[in-house]
Amino acid sequence: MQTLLDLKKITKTFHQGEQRVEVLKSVNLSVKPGEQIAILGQSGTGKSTLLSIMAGLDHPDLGTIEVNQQNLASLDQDELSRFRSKHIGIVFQQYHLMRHLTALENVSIPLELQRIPNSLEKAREALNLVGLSHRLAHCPAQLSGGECQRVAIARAMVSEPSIILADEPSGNLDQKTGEEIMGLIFRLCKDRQQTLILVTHNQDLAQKCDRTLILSEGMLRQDVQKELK
Amino acid sequence: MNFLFRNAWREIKNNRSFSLFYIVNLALGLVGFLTIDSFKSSLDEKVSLESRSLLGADFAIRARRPLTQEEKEKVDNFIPPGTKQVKVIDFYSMAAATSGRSRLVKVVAMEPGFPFYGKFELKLQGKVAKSANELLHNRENIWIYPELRNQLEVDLGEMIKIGEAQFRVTDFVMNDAGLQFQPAELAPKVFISKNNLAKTNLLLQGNTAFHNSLFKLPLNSEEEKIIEAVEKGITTPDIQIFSHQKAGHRAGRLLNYLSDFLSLVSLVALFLATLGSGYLFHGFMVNKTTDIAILLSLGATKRTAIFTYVIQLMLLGLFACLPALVCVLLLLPIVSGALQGLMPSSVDVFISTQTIILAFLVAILAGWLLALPSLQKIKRLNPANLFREAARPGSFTDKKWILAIIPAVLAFWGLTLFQSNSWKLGNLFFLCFLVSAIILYAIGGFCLRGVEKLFQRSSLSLRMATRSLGRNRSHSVTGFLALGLGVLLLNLIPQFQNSLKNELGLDNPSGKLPKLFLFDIQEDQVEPLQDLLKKEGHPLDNLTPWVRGKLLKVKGKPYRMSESKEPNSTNSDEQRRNRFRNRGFNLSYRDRLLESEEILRGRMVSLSFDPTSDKPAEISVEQKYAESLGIDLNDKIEIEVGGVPIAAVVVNIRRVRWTSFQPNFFVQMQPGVLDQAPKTFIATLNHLDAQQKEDSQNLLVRNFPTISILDVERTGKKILSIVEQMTWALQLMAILSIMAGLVILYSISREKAREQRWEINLLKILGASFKDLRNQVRIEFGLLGLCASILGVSLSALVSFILAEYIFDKVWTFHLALPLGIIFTVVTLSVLTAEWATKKVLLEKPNSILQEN
Repeated sequence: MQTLLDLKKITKTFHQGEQRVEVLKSVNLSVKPGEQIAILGQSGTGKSTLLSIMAGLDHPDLGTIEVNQQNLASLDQDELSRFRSKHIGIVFQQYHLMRHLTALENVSIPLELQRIPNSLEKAREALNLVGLSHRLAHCPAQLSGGECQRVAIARAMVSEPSIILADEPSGNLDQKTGEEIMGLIFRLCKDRQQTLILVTHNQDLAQKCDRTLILSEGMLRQDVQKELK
Repeated sequence: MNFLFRNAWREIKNNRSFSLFYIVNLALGLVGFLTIDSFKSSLDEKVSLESRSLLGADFAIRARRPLTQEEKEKVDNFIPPGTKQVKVIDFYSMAAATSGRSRLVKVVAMEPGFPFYGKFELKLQGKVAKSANELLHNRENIWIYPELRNQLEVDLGEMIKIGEAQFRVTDFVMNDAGLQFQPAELAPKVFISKNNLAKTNLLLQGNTAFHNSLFKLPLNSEEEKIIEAVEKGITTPDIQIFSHQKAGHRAGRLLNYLSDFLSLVSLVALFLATLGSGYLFHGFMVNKTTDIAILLSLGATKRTAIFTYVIQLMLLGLFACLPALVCVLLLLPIVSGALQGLMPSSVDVFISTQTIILAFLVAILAGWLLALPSLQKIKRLNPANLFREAARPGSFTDKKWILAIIPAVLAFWGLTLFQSNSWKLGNLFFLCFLVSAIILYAIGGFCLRGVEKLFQRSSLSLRMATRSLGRNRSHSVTGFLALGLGVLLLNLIPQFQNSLKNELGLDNPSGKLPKLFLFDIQEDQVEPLQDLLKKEGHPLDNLTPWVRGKLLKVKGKPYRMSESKEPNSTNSDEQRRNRFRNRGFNLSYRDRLLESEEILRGRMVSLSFDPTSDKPAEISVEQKYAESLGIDLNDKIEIEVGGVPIAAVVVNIRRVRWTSFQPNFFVQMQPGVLDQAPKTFIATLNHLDAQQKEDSQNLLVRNFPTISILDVERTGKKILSIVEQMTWALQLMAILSIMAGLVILYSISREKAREQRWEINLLKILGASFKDLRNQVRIEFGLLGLCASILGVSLSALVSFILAEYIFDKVWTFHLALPLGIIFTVVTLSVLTAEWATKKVLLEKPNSILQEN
């Protein structure tokens, strides 16, 4: 099976004053279509940096990243944006919905950016999938945390990208709602054959993925315990 | 594109409060700007459409003397056969009624056939073309301006004496036609037939009268070429050639200057409004940073994000034009009505398509340029920060914002040059404005720091208020700048107006201004005149000879009136320079300086002249006239007086305070040179009360009907009324600036309250009452208004002092009442505005914010 996401020797360094912090040290990762991967790691280990590099929002200092055989380094900013809107969906921990837009409008944005016709209709369907057909005209301030995250999931999935990057999607939610949300993500990704890369602290959630990776001291390792299981 | 428009529209719709304030703010700035622009367009339209009616001919030749036979022949050679010609003479003289009343009038003596274009509008006869023979030319009749009815106590059928002839009043001139060069006349006009002029015995040697030859060219003549040929053929400096276009421009020049200046002042309101809109947009963008980062993370390009806001600003600019244009429609007739006195005939005002296009362009471009610093931040926005909990995507300081405001500053500079129609005035205004803004900005920052330190041990409300001012310095200084500039404008013009009023001293009976100004006194009238007035107990003062000359050479080169061959130059600087150069060359001599004169450079002229020596005569030249001729100390000029050339050398450059109304001349020669030259005299009568003035004037008119008398008080009042009209219009612009400033203040206080919402609610939780918090707001914005208005008043006093000192003949005096009123009003308005803007947040229940978190 061909590789959907391929990270080779990704290195990223930040400078804090005179101090040089190497957040990612020659990280390699290959992800197949439909695979569900969890990345575990403590705060500050570079999980978010890795996600933003995968999303094409940040550039590595060294190494290459290919999504669907497309080397992201060869794309300019605009091409990268267009590529992202087509191939990558992102779910943030803080939902990051546009405050002044309704749930329906928030979800339709990626479709509108791609000039896909009937965007509102498709957005409505996506919201229906996440169980929010009754909250279409509500703004984020009028929705609960769980509902906001459902809107964010619908938004990430509406344009049917091949990869979903989820950064602690249940991190801001209570346990029960968090579980519901994660269940929804897993189910939708599986149903739609979408690859899921989940960054989390939660070991239990990680266990539900096909593979678990641990980011520690800038390096990505396989979760040996899970492999043994 | 669709997405861009949809998204931009969504931003407008979903941020109604921002959109509304942006529109209101920008509309406020546009109102003044567009009103003046429309007025200017209407004026231009009138001048270009009605220029033939204003002149009454296709072109005219005007001189202070009749044309010589040689000159007449030259003109005849240039004009095609079939050209019609008519002659008109105009001059100032006294008119006396049988009631015994008299006053200075402008006599227009016309030949049958005048005017070729346009019509007289008479009260009885209605519209009359070519001053029909039977109405005026066959009898000793006179048409007068309606104001003379009261001033002379004269009515239809009654007699008026002009010089030594009696005329019967047969009609009142409601609107006159032809020879309307002057924007505002010194005296009301009376019209007689030229056939009867000789009977007045007024055109004596040396009396000032303009001889006009008006021409109507045959149809299909090459008008421009003919006029150009006449101009080239007649180069004598004391003859002026007016095409109808040039005459039109001259008639409208006072209004043109005023509207140029008004449009500059209106630019301040526009600047403040766009500054306010820029400020609002900046606040809006700060709130939008996360949304933009989200949009980018969803796959939007940075160009898409930027263009969304560019389109949003374009739409808002378009919307702002609509209320602005409606306000202009309402305001235009009012402004036009108030300024009608500054133009010989009325201007029909309208909004031109060009103004509408300009409105849209300015509204959109101003929005874009002011938004550049905020928009360029999008380029550096890093959506990857959305993954970091603590980081905000737009939380970086961008020192390049200074570069981003350069296009806006350059555009403002371009607009000042465009609006002022003068390189010099435009640059001067821009520089003054920039310096004032920088001073206000710098001092504002300094004041706020000082206020914070001063009150650091005061009561909690005072301490919190001053700390808030100091802590949010960029907000506070922006408000400070906006209010300060508005106050500066509002106080500047009245300060100057009051200084002028004070200088003229019209309310002060013992003022230093002469009461009557006498001119056209013949040499043989001097003695009997002095005797008569001495007998009456009011001796003649400042008796000064007036010699008419001709400037032949300047610094060895033959003198031409105007260096520009462009007769209809629209450049104000050039027009001013040319007008100065083209003045009739009058000079005088005396052995002392008057109180209104001051030697700036050089020495006093020698009091004796040796006619046998070959040394040139010494002259003193007024500074602005010297500038226009391009001469300075020790430069030589050659003058012709009574056909005799006189070589002269400049020994001093003099400043004259013209507002003193003392007999002054641009060129004063040393005594002894011109004693035998043909001349008339001018003189003043001082220290007369109203009755004495009236009696003296009537006595003089009875005994010396050919002497013209200017009532200085009446003239001063006329000047002041013109200044008042201008002041009114300027203050209107200044009020718009203050309003724009208050909208900025509203935006700032609302923004601040929103930013400090958490702190405000925390204070409430800690026990602060609504009253405590409201007091804090009152103190904060009251202090801001107080500091800004004090500084604005101080700066306006300084600027008015500089203007008075260096441009307007040192007439500055400071008037305290108005600035005090302005300070009080601005402080009150600032407090009320801030209170209104923050009320919602202050009244909020503190637990609502706790629930949100």
